[in-house]
Amino acid sequence: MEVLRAAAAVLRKDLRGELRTRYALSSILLFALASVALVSFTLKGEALTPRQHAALVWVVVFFAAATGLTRGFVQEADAGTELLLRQAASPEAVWLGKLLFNLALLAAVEAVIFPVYCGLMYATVEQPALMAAVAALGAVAISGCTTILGAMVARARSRSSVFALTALPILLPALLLLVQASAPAFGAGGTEAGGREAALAVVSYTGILMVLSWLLFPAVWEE
Amino acid sequence: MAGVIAAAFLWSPPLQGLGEAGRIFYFHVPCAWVGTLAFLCAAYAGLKYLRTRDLEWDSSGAAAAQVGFLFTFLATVSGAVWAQEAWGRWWNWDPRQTAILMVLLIYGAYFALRSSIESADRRASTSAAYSILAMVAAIFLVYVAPRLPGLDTLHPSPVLPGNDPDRGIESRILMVLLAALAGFTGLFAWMWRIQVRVDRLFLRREQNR
Amino acid sequence: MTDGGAAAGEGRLRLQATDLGKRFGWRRVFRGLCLETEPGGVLVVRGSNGSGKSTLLRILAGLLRPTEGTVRLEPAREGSGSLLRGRVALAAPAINPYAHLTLAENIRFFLHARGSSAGESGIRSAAALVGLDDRLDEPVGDFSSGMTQRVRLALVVAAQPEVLLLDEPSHCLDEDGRRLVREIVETQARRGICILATNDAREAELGERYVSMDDYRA
Repeated sequence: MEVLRAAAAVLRKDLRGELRTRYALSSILLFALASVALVSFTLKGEALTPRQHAALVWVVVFFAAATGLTRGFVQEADAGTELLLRQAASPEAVWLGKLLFNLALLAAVEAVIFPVYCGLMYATVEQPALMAAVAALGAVAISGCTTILGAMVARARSRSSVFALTALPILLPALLLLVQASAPAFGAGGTEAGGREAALAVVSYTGILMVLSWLLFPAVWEE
Repeated sequence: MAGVIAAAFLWSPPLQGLGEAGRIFYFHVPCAWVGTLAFLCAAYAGLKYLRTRDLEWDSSGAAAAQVGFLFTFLATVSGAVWAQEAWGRWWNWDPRQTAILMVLLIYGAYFALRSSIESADRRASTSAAYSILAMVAAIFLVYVAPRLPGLDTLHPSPVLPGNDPDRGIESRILMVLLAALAGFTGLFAWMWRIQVRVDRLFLRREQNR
Repeated sequence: MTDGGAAAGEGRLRLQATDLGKRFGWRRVFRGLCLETEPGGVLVVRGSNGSGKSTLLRILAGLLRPTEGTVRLEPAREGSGSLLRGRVALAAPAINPYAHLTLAENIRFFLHARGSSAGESGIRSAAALVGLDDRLDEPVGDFSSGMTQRVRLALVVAAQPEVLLLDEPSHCLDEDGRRLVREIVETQARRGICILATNDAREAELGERYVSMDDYRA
């Protein structure tokens, strides 16, 4: 309970700061929109298969997330507020608060990216409900798997490239499965059961990594 | 080691359906095995570091990763050569190729992370945690990748067909393979120890400055 | 370490560090440091630059793991995960408040996250104590360095810790600010434990007992 209260305080603080500066949100969003525009421009309305659509949209989300998801911890390190946060909240609460913040950020970005992608790429979403569910699952998976990496990378130089590099192997299983799960929503017929199975696998993978992050985070966060 | 190499080329019969190029098998499989083993060793050293906070474990883990990277790279290259011979393509996203690429990626990310952190304590705790996380991801991928459609494996699934009628040739293949595995594991242990000692020398020089 | 004194000293606040040592990487900062302090007098930590004053304070605050030795705060409190978090507060020049939050939001966050009930009156009085009650709703990023130092003091005072650790508390402060530090230190010494790290002669005068980090040089 104490952890939840402290995590909520961390989340509130980060949201408030983000609403005032809009640094992370704008950088992720602009990057994502630019890459969607680039993809659509270079493909010039070529008809893609549902699986290709699913793969492209998740690649865009992954790299966009890689530009902005480090923000939470990097800013603490740069602004010299890390020790204040460490005094204020337990490592678990910090991790949970940052995770929820990243989740909110990703949800906001996906809410823009998916419609824009479908509009620019003429992708027809045949099952909007399934699409929304998979998108939400993806936001949970990406934030759940990479929040601890943000804290690691905050100690490094050339952070966003190291973040993308370290996040890719960790997220690869989840991304492969997300593509699998969202393909039916773009109209890849007959694989709905496969999609459900993939979604379940994403849930279990994210669950395992979140438990592991919870256990490892204190070792990374504290000195 | 020399005995193993000689046996691989001279004593062992050609593998069924693979011809003379199949002899790369005695090189490819042990390399992949050592790459995986080194990876597990690095994760174990990471766990030990987080328990003890002894920097010796950190350099031990890094040394295992360095040697492991070399072997994984060799396994990938020898695998690609063999794939070209046997399947006609260097690379075809076979699940095991995906998995080994993943392991290479993890090693790459691990080294990038290490070289970008200056403080020794932070570098140690961060790379220890990363090696553990990455190991779980790799294990998952090895089990997940084969389930994705369009990724049916070309690798034989029991690596050695067990009920071959020609037992004599069969056991010779098995013996050479086991000897190669043992030899390569020994080679790994030896290289790991040397790498640890080299790291220690560098550290001592740094301390004395 | 279990000594009979734990039962005898029931309820009496006591901070005890035994045989502390710290290494960064392979570089040793200090070793063999023991100290024990109780409410009443102020303990001043002195030492030349790089001798580990700030490091010692971070260890005592539970923000840094000592390489050797232990820190204990008695009477031990059950329940909370870390031994020291929530009972100790450290203000240091390297610990900044959140620039994008206002003074009131900074204090509120610090108290909420530590799990203490943050009454608005507590926030207001902490700000008033450091003379910033008219700037409560301004972002801290707009403050001067002296005012930022006052914010650091307001944060730790608002938390009402059992152990207050101040690293160079007069950093960037004017005469009025120095009086303020004296007041904070004296109040804390009556209520709980107060430890100062400084080489400033006037700040050091506040001390009753002294530790010199140069004695524990590795």
